[in-house]
This record gives sequence, C-alpha cells and structure tokens, in this order.
Amino acid sequence: MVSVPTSPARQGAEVATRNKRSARSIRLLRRDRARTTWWAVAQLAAAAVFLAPIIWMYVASFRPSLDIKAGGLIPSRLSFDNYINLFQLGTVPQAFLNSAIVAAISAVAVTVISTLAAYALSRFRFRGSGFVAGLLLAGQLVPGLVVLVPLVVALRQFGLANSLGGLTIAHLTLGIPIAVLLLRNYLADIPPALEEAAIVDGCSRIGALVRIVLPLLRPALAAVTAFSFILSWGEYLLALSLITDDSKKTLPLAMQSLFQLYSVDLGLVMAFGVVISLPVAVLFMFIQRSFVSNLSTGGVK
Amino acid sequence: MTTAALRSTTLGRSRRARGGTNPWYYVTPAMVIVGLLTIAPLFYGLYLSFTNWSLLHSQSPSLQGIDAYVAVLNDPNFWGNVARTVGWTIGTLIIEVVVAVPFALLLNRRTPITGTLTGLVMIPWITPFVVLAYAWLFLYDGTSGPLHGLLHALGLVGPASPLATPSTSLWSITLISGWKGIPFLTIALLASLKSIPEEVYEASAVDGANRFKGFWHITLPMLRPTLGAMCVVLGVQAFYSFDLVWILTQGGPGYSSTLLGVQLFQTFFNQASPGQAAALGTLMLLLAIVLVVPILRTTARRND
Repeated sequence: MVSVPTSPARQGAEVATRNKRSARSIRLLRRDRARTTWWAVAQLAAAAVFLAPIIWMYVASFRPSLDIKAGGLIPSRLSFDNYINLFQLGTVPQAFLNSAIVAAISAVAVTVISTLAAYALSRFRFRGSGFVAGLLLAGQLVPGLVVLVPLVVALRQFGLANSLGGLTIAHLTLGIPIAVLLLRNYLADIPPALEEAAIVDGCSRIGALVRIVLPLLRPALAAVTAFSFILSWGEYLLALSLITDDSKKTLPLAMQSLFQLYSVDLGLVMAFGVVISLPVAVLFMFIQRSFVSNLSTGGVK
Repeated sequence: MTTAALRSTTLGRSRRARGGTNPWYYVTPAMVIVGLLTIAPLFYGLYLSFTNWSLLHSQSPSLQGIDAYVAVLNDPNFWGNVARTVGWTIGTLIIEVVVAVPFALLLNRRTPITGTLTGLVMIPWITPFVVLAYAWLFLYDGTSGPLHGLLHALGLVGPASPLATPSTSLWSITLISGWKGIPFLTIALLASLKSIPEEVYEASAVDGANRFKGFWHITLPMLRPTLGAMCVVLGVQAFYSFDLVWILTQGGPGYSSTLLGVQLFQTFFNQASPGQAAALGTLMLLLAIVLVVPILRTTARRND
C-alpha cells in the first residue's frame, strides 16, 4: 500500500475509510469493554451471594455478641474484643498448637512418602506398577467412615488412641492418594532426559532426584504439602473418635467444646471460626493456581 | 527406559551398583501406609462385622456368624435412615449440579477479576466442616439468623430455627452440604469448558443455532463425561456424610436427620458395639456399590 504511488484523491478516500474503520473498531472495543464490565459485575455478584455465609462469619467476628443477636446485617460498631477474649481461654492456644503439630508432621510425611512413590511410578516400568498405582488410588476411593471402626479399634489396641501421634498416623491416609496422583501428573511434564544426563555425569539415582527433579517440582511439592496440611487441619471424624483429653484436642474439637460452653457468645464462636479458617484460606490462595489447574486437568479425566 | 534394559548395559550396572534403582524402595512407604491404614482395616472391619462384638459384654471379639447383620437389619430405624441417606445424597447432588453449571458458565467469561474470584469461590470447599456448621447454625438461628429471617418471610420455615424442626432439619442441612460441594464441581466444569474449541460454536452459529441451542447441543454434551465422573465422586462423599449432621443436630430432632453415617457413629460409641457398627459399615459399602454401578454404566455407555 505504501510503495504504490497514488493520487491525492485516492489517498483522501483511503484515509477516510481508515478513519471509518478505526471508528468502528473503537466502537466495537467500547462495546466489548462495556460487556466485559457487565460480566465482571455479574461474576462479582454471584460470588458475593455464594460466599455470603463466610463473609457473614468474618463480619460477625468483629461485632459484639449483643449486636449480632439484635439482628441487622450492617454492623454499627466493630471491635477486636472477641479475638482478645478467645485467646485468653487456655484451651485455644493449646488446640492451635496441637493442630499445627499434627497437620505439619502429617503434611511433610505425606509429601516425602508420596514424592518417592510418584517418582517410581512415573520413571520406572516394573512388574506390579499397575497394582501399586491401583492400591494407592483405592485409598482415595475408600471413605473415612468405612474404615473408622476397624481403624479406631486397632489404634486403641496399639495404645495410639487419645494421642497426637496416633492422630498424625491416622491423618496420613487423607493426603497420600491425592498427593501421588498430583505429583505423577507434574512429573510427567519433567523430561526424564534431565536426570539421565545427570546420571551419565556420575550422579546417583537419588542424587538426580534430589538435585535435578525436586527443584523443578517445587511448586507441586508446595501445593501437595499445603493441601495435606489443610486436610489434616480441619479433620473432624478421626479426631473426635480418637481424642478425649482436653489438652490433646485439635481445633475442630476445641471449637465444638467452646460452642457447648459459650453458645450464647456468638461473637466468640465466630472469631474462633475465623481463627481456624483464615490460615487455610490464605494457604490455599497461594497454591490455588497450580492446584486447581492440575486437579482439573489430571484428576478428572 | 526399563530396568531390564538398564541392567544389560554397563551404565545400568554402574547405576545399579550405586543403588536407588529398585522401584520397590520408593513405593514401599506409601504401600505400607495405605495397606495398614486403609486396606487392612477394610478386611479387619469385615471380620469384626461377623463378631457382634459389644464392649458391654466382652473385652475381645469372637466370631458369631451373621448376628450383627441381623441386629442391624432388624433395627426399626435402619430403613428410614437408608431412605434419608439416599434422599440427602440425591438432594446434595441436585444442588451442586444446578448451581455449579451456570456458575462455571459465568466464570468461563474472561474478565479482569475471573482469576481471583475463581480462587475465592473455592474457599467453602477447603474450610473445615466445623467452621461452616457453626456459621450456618447462626444463619439459621430462630431469633437473629438472617437466613432464617428470609426463609420465614417466604413462609418456608416456622418461627424456630429450621434445624430444630423435624420437618425441615434434613433439607436445611442438605442445603449446606450441597453448597460446600459446589466449588469443586465448578472448577472441574470450568476445566472441561476451556477444552471446548471456540470454532465449534462459530460453526453452529453459521448453521443458525442460537445461544440456547449452542448450550443444549454442544456445551452440555461436552460436559457430560465430567458431570458423570464428578457426580460419582461427590455422590459417594455425600453418601458417607457425618460431620455436618453430627455437629448441627446429632441426627435430631428425633430421628429426622439421622443418616447412616450418624447411625454408624452412634452404634460404635454410644452403644459401644463395634461388631454392629462394622456390619453397618459393610452394608453401607454394598449399598454404595449398588447405587454407583448403574451410574458408571450409563456414563460409560454415553462416552462410547
């Protein structure tokens, strides 16, 4: 268009069409932008309605109980009193510590054990690998309630009832199957040639796993550890069945006893709800991108 | 590359000499955990179910045939609990599907806030049941609960909390159960929506299909495999529910919200009868298989 010499008249006509075209594209762009805004508003409204129960809990935790009881959705005054009162109850920091210990140990153990298993399943072809994969997946398909009775009876016989150690062991089953599944999906994207090159250069298999694969796997490891932590942190059924001592109660059990004692103090109970749910929500927001994309592409098919 | 192939080469031999090429070293810890904590208890539970062991009568189990099964099946509340559990499972699934499908379609529109919102709507899914249960308990509260106020104004519930009323306790907890499952289904549906190429819609638009027809004839059939698989996963989860009901009503008032999971827990702890509880667990497993197999068959056939 540029190289061909043209008459001034034609040039004028071209400028006009170009202007008309750009005017139309601007109008289209504006319409697109307006449409996008409307979609965003609709999405925001739907999410707000959907999350209303949780938003309500967060707001209520900053209101005096009397105000919550009086009804009304818009708070007239806010305070941190509920949180201050909550942490003055001795059982709450103790339960926080118990949950943190159980969840952290079981999450790290799940990640180490699952990484080893997922690595073998994705890198070695061996007789029985199908059986191993099936067995680990079966763990995911058996709901906790099915094995509750025999598991609790067995743990009692081994003297592991009413101990945080026993609860930690029981929590290992929550994370392993899904962790193996996710890590296998991630490992499939890391070319084995990288480790093989390291092995040719004199690295051992384990050395290659630690030095080459694990650094590449870091986002997946973070996601798996965080998710196992979340599963253990809020687990209720096993904790309820195994733990009876007040000093060994984890957060869900402590919240239940708090409610039984102070059910009139709504603000206190809601503040405890925030204390339990905020850490896992924050943790999840960090990992959600890698977790959600992997879960939905690999886990469902 | 197989281990057999490695062994035949010098490289393989040197690698083996350094250790770490036996895959069983890697998988054994996971196998031991899953074997001891999931597979072995399954068989131990089956054994216990044939003992009718009660802690009130003896310290250790001894085989007693099918006494425990007979006792469970003769329990006057058993079939009522089965019906409630099936109704609860179907209700939970209906809520999940009815909300998650439009929700996923809405979030499939790319806007600047889509990414953040998708993360935020996952929060009910990862929030512990105890926390959600108490939040909803107060939403349903008869004097100050905002949700109770709304439902009462609509004439759906009486002046008391719906949780305290036999006719409404089960469905008001079903609502919570469905709500908690929505994010998981939404994310799964979003992933399969993203895999539908835009050209398919363009082609159908050229052929004169409108938006609704596009949804009905393209989107929905494409989502069906995901919907089928997720309904099995979420259905099994709902079938084995315990936490929400136990925290909110303990199965009451009366037996109006007693699910099989609650009955199992009560048999085990309140009646101190591990034998009967194990028998109930086995019956639940059989019932779940009977319910799931037809769903798997239909989805498998549709995929062909």
